[in-house]
Amino acid sequence: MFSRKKILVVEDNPLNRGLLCQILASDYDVLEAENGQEALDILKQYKEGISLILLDIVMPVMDGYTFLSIMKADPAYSSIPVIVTTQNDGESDEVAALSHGASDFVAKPYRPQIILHRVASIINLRETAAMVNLIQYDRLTGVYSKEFFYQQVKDILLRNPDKQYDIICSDIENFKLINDVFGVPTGDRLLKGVAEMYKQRVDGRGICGRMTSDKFACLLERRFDYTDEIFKEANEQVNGVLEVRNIVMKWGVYYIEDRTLSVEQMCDRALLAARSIKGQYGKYFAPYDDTLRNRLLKEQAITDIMESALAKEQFQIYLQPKYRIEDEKLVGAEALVRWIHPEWGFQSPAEFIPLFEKNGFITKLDQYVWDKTCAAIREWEDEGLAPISVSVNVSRADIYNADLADILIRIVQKHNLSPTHLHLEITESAYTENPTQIIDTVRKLRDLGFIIEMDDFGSGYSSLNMLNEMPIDILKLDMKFIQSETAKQNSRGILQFIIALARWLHLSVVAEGVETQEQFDRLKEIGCDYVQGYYFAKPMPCHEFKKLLAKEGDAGENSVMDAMKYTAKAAE
Amino acid sequence: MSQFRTIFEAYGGDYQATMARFVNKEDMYLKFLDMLFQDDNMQKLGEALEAGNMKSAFEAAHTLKGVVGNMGLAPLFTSVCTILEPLRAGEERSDYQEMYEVIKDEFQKADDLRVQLKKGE
Repeated sequence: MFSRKKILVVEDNPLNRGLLCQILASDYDVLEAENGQEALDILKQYKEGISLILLDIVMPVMDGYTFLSIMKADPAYSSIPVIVTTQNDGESDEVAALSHGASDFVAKPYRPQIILHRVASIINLRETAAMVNLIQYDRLTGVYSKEFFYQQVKDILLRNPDKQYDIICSDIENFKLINDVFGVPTGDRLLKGVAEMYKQRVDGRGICGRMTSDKFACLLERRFDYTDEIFKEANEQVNGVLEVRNIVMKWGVYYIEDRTLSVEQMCDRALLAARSIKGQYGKYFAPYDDTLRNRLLKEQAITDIMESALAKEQFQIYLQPKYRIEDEKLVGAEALVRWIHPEWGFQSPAEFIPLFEKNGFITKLDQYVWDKTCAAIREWEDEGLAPISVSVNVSRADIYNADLADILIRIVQKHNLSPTHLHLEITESAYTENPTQIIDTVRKLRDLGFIIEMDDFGSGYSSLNMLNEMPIDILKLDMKFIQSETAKQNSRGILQFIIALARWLHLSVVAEGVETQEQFDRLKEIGCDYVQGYYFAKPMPCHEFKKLLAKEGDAGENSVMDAMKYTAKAAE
Repeated sequence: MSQFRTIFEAYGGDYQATMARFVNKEDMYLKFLDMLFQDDNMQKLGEALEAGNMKSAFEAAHTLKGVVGNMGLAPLFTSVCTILEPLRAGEERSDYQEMYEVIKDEFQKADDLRVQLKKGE
């Protein structure tokens, strides 16, 4: 329950005091003092916890005027309003009371309704005034507070229906780090500097406010196109504030088109735009557009349903066959995930995989894929089809999971398979991120019998030395890399060199994304081992792959041996 | 209840205006009325006048006026007002004692009122 407002009644006469207390008791908590001195003692105790003072003038020990002079001189109490109780016998007392700082007076005999109304309106007035002062400006930086900024923007837009305005918001990259490393006072100085920069630049042409910690916003009349140059300059100005340099600000611009949006939404949009270039070097500002918003909305929608989609088995395994170049035989496959949503239809992995990597859901999805893949292999073996190994993706987040090895072993054991049935594809860039830890984890997996494929080889920056130390069996060449290599005559040497390097390291090479006869010929010519790509087969649902396996596996002893060799060779 | 009002109005008080101050509770009025007779300002006024201390006399009368006004004791209130203004002005007068006697009479009448009101309950 809210505590009631406190009123201090200062009056020496017990009858008058008692009567006042009776009048006020229904709406307030009433404190009583018999003279000015007692009242000061109570003030010391409650300070601004007292909403109003009702003060008699003629009192023993310390009279009302003395009390008023003392309390009005003390900033701790001076804002507490005082109503003086007078005798209604001439103006002099009232004038004297007001000149000593009293807010108002009430006369004896008391008129309860008048007293209650006067008290309520004076308390209300003072609280409103205090609130306006408190919230109009941001305490630290002196620019408008968020709420007040919103209000002001709204007013300006309403008053100027014909003018065009933009909302510009900014965000300091890694501001929390600045606070953490250099201390909050330094962070505060930076924020004041940012506010100062805003004030100077906006001066007279708009208004600015502080949204949250390091986020500021301004409303500007549209006068010119925004360029990186303007924002770069502003950024440099901010960098002049501290000894700490390299402070990066990202700016987002929302061109106000739709005035039915709330100002809060407009600012959100500008901030979204700013966030979209987070971490991008040399990019200072981004304008908001609906694509950005739609993307975020889609992301949110996906996030909302991903768990249930997994539970409802909306995710399906597609398999893309891998062929040996030498004799063009089917030797394996890569398991890819497809999402077929009952309403949205086919969802592009390019859309949901990066999102799942970002929000961590990828680890669940990966485990689901591993399990479904093993179940499929088990089914083929049970039906007497050619033994085959399938590669699955192991995401960066999986590798940091301490239980990864246990999870994988549990899955293959559940389906009564050996680890060699699963090839684990780990992207090259994951290795370069945290080499020691990742190499340890992957070595452990390899020791358990899993075949390790380094995915997207050429996308990361492995040194030859690192490559030699990495626990891998197969290099998987990036599709884009191969496409550009075969196109450029002069660069063919590089591709050849990679194959030679793989030989030297006793690694097999799989080229993925092979789409043309030309590419295939070239890969064959330089001695690449395996290919995967549209030129041979698209990713296909499990049942189709099974048919393919049955057909090509039926080719006889040879193809079974080939498949085994793929596995065995890789396991060498 | 209505007897309270009759007695109070017969005394010369404004029943409605006065009782509003006491949340329209007659028993509360009586409680405060009792306090009036414990108040020492009447006594202080008499003593100050006797001693010729105008300032103390004024203060006592001033307080008395407020209290009596709050109690809605109109005749007593008028008598206090009569003495208050010359006291405030610091006038040297010979008739203060007479004025005080009038106040005392009125004070007694107020006390009688108290007795009546209590009986009437």
